[in-house]
Formats: sequence, structure tokens, C-alpha cells
Amino acid sequence: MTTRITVSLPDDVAAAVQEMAEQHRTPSVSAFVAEAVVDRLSRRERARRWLDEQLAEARARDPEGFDKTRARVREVMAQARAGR
Amino acid sequence: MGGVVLDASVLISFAEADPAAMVAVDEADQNAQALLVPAVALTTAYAQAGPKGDGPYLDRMLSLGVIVGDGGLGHAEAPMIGAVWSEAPGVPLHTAEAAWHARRRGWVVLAIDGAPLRGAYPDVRLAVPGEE
Repeated sequence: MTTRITVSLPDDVAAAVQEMAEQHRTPSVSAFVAEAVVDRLSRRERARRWLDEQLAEARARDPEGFDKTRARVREVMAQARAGR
Repeated sequence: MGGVVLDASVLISFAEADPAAMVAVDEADQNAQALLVPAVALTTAYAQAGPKGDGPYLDRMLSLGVIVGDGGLGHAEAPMIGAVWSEAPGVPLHTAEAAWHARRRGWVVLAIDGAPLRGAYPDVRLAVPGEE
């Protein structure tokens, strides 16, 4: 099943993808964009898992220090979100 | 929701697996809060990580969805960042670059070491997790 959506690309990017499709280096523009999106989501997921592991290791080394750091950082990031 | 400009000290600390820097990125990712990574600051962090250093940490960070690139420092940005740098020519270029982004977007700069930015650009809002 597929869903049709409209995306806007910079002219040079759109032309490059179109050219790849015309030269049969990718089945279609849609296939190329879908592959790129899947790749990006996959990299993001791997990075998220890696960060979780790093944080768990840091907390295991110094639980009290880590929790204090987490509390301080959480506060300043919340202030930044609020624009304070 | 306000985003955050990452100072070079955060990027360097992240590359060294400093918990404060990693938690800051985690908090942003959990809350879908944009983190702007300025080009010169990122270059500085890669340089400090060295050719066989902790560059992969930065590579991973850049793959997170909340990371926003600044489009690089090109001809269009050079005069504006140069003008900001001329206000405090003694600071590293990446400090002026962070100040320019923060002023332009009205965002906070997150730093592990806030002294250079605070001294040079007191009008820029600064968040330093290690400070009370």
C-alpha cells in the first residue's frame, strides 16, 4: 500500500533525482525518495539507540552524579523551550 | 517552542562523552526541541576529536532528528558574522557564530563553558548546566 503526498525539493535536487530516474539508475523518483526517507529514519533510530546506551553506561558509572546532571540540564532546557 | 544553539564547548564535550552534553541532546530529542549546530563550532569539535578521535560520537549526534544544520558559513553569512565577530575580535570565530545565530533566531545558546560568550556578547541568552 502506498500513500500519495506532495513534497517540494530544491530545483537542483529535483533535477538530479529526475535524471537518475530517466537514466534508469533508480526505478522512479518515488522509489528514490522512499529509499532516502527509510535510510534517514534508520540512521535516526540507530543514533537514538546508541545515545540510550551511552546514557545508561554513564548512569551506571555514577548514578547520583548523573541524576544531578540530568536535573540541572532538564531545567535549563525547559527554560530554553519556554524562551526564558 | 524555542530551540537552542549549541556552543562549540557542548559539541567538544559530546565528542568526549561528557554526561551533561549527552543529556542535553537527549532532553532535546525527547522533547522535539531543535538544536542548531553551527558549522564552525562543528568543525572545531571535529578538529579537537582528531583524525582517530571521537568523531563518530558527533556523526551519531548529527543523525538525530532534532539536529538542525545552519546551511554553512557562505558568502551571504560572512559579512553578518564578521560584523558580530568585530564586536569582540579576541574570541574564537565559533563564539561569534553562535552569538549571531542566537540573536537572529532569538534562541538560547547552550554551553558547557559559558565564559567566552558571556564576556563577549552579554546580550545573548546563555544556558550553562553547571551553573546555578
